[in-house]
Amino acid sequence: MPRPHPMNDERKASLEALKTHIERIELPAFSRPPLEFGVPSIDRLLQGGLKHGRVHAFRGSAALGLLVALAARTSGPLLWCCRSDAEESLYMEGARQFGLAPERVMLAHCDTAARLLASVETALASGAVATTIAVLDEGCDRLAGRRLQLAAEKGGGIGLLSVAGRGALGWTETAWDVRSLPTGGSAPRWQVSLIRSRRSVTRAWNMEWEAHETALRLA
Amino acid sequence: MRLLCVWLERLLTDSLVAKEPALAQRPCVAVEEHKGAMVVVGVSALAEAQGITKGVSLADARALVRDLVAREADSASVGRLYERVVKLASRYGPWISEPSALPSDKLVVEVTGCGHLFGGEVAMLEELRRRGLAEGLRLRLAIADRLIGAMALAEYGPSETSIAPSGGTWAALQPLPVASLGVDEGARNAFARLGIRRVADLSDIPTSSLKARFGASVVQAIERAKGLRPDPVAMRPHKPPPRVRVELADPVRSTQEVEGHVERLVRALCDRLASQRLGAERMLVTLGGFQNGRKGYRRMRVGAASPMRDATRWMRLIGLRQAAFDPADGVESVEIRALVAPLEVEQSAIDGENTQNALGQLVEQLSASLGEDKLTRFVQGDSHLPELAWYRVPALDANEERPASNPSRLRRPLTIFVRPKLVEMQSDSRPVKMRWRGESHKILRASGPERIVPPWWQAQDLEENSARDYWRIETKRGERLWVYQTCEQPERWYLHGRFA
Repeated sequence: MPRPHPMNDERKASLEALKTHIERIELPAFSRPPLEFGVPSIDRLLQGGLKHGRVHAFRGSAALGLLVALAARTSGPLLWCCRSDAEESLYMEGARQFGLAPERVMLAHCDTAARLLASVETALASGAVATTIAVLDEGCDRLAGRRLQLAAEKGGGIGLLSVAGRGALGWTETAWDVRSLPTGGSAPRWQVSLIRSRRSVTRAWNMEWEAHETALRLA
Repeated sequence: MRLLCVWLERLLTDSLVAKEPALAQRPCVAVEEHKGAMVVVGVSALAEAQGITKGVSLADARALVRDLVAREADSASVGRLYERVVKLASRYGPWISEPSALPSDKLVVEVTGCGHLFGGEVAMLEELRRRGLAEGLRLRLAIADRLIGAMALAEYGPSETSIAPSGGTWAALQPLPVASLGVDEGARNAFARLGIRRVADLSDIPTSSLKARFGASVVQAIERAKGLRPDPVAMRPHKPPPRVRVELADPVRSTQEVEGHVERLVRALCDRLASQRLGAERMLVTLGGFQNGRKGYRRMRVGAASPMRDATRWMRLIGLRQAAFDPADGVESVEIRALVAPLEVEQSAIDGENTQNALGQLVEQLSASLGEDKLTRFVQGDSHLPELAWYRVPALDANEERPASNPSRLRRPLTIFVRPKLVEMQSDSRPVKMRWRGESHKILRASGPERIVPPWWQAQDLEENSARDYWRIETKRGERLWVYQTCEQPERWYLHGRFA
């Protein structure tokens, strides 16, 4: 069996340049700077942060916490799509403590899973809201996921999905698993694992939410 | 000249009932804030029967009637109700009073020479009264020669409908209380001091001494009623909301064809709006036809975030609703009505460039496909109860006021359970162990209690109104939860929310 040619630095560099070039052709709406975590090591790994024009998925017991903390770092109107028959609903006072301003939030209550996905797709494709959040009771199949991804590329906004269950998340740009850890004091502490990423290795961090500075930091 | 005056005796509370039909069965009041206190400005018939009058404070009213329902007076729904009455009354004459010219609960129609069309003025008033009742509105009506007479008879007349014969206004006013003349407060107080209660009591007093004692306003009112002084009111021709309609000779059975007819009408309507410098805020599409062999109507209501007259955008909104439409039995007529507002120049559509415009379109599109009450924005309520601290208003009502909000300094969960979950809890002085979803959770940390007490005026004997002691707990696995026990039944614990 022939051994693969070891890649030298020059070839690596030209491959990277080609990749960025293709990216620029593929994504005309790709002008917004990536959404930063504000944690240097994570941002460096993600090459700047979570990319706009993409869909990112979060799961695990504390997924919504990280999702809201990140959404609070974006600006402009934000659409929050959820099922109208969900047991739990977003509590604005709590979301505000993660830095999310109530006047940015628009809430869409959808009666079926299909309508929920359709609303998210419409919002992503319209480009009218910079951030679209969807709380999915179950996973979302590859086809629906791909549709969301295409809509995000068209609109140029960012899609943040909270996904329950174990559905495959191969279609997302990045996927995260966020679990609560016992706290030292009052600051929420999470184990944040990057379980999928299109352009970086996966890793895990222990993080804390610093309420006074409305910032994430490594624990 | 003959003027028909309609007095909407319970305009404020009727408008609340129109919005919340359940209120019809309960004593209710409309309140407004005056100098920091909530004051009753409208009283329903049931509440009035129990002794509540306008002008008392809400606290006093609640002391009188225990199960009183109070709502803030809502100018938007008052406006809608007023428009309904304008529509009813405009059957009887071509000219309607300008709303700004009269008190907000009265309107006047000019019915000179119209009576015989309805079988006389008596029959005309009776018909209007019955039409009002059919819509759930109690109207008090009067016809007189003069504005002051019609208004006085409508409000103070002996029955729900009163008529002063032509030339007999002053005579018809005689038995009414003096307040009916609409004189200023100084004159009313002077009347009360002197024991002058009825208009008739004024007849014997010479004009010169009337003026000296009670001021010019009384003399003017009498002269207006007697016909010695002009009694003008600003009127406008009644313009019904624009409406376009097509009757189809043969029932149409294909969705595409129906859509074609709808589109033609929408374009015609938008052209008409453009020539009148109006835009539509809402459109009501009515399709008439047969359903299961019976004649029926199907209605679709769509709304825009701001007035617009762009036919293509309207078609897109209407089209979304047609997805659920099946013309199998045939459509025989199509009618479109619009609720309009002034719109000078409409922005040309600039795709993607104008985010405000794009946001408006997204709001319209989602409101049309999900329903207007399903796309909402958060507004902070003035309650410290967690369930009531935030409420939601339709995003389409963009000009809804949003009061400045004060963040809470206490830690609050990110999500709350719509219905708090009953959980099994072991506790001594603080929660120790919890069973939830069939699993046992050891509690490592608990901070609390934070007592949240419902407002004192609510009955506290029901469990849901009881004071609650909230705890923030952390389980061994790191889950942070918000639980409470009620003071009524401290052994019952509820899970109310989750911190992330």
